[in-house]
Amino acid sequence: MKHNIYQRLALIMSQENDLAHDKAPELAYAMEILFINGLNLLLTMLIGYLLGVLQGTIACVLVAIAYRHIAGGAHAKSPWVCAVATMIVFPALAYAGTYIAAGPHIYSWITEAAAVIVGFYAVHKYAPVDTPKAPIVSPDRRKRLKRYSYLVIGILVTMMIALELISTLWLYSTAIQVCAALAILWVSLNLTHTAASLWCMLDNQH
Amino acid sequence: MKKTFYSILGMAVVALIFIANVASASACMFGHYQPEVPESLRK
Repeated sequence: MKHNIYQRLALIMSQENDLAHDKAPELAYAMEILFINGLNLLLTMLIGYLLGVLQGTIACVLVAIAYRHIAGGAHAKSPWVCAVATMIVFPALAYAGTYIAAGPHIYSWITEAAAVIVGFYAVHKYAPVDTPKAPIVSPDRRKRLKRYSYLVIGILVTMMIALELISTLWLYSTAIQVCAALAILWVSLNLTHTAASLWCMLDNQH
Repeated sequence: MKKTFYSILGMAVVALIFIANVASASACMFGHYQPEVPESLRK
């Protein structure tokens, strides 16, 4: 059987520590998650910094981590497609958010209102969305993740309202609000079947 | 030196098992790629 680098490292670590047989795949899984997400985060922040929208990129990533962690969503089959998409999407959302926030205030409000409506609707209709590689087996867990998804989207909306209240004190708050709203829209889109088809199409291009 | 290496390795193993459990308890991590969750962590 062919092992990847994470599996080989995990095997060595579990042998050195006399771990149970089923712990090696868990170690490999954790290493793969850490490496892929760490690299994606680093490159996303770098692109955001180079585009001059680092604060907006951080806001988008934080919203996506909170929301996607609980609600799930569509995924690419390849880590490379994922890396390129993440590197492009979050700085692009931050750039668009900063651009919208610089315009008339009505555009910011429309974006935020759309995020609230679409976010709650997507959670109500689709969340949590699992994948064949990470299935949600237990119905109890599915119900719990659904409840937490409502909670997360509620907290994010409350934070957007709080940012609106302090917008006179902190000038960048409108940009952060719009970036967060765009990130909510993006993650909500990822909960739909359309997003699953989109990722499938991107995988086939690879 | 060897003792320090083994204690660091032990801590790394504990941290990795913790991360694997936290990750498997959620729907997914933030990225757009999901590695295969081990059978022992599927719930």
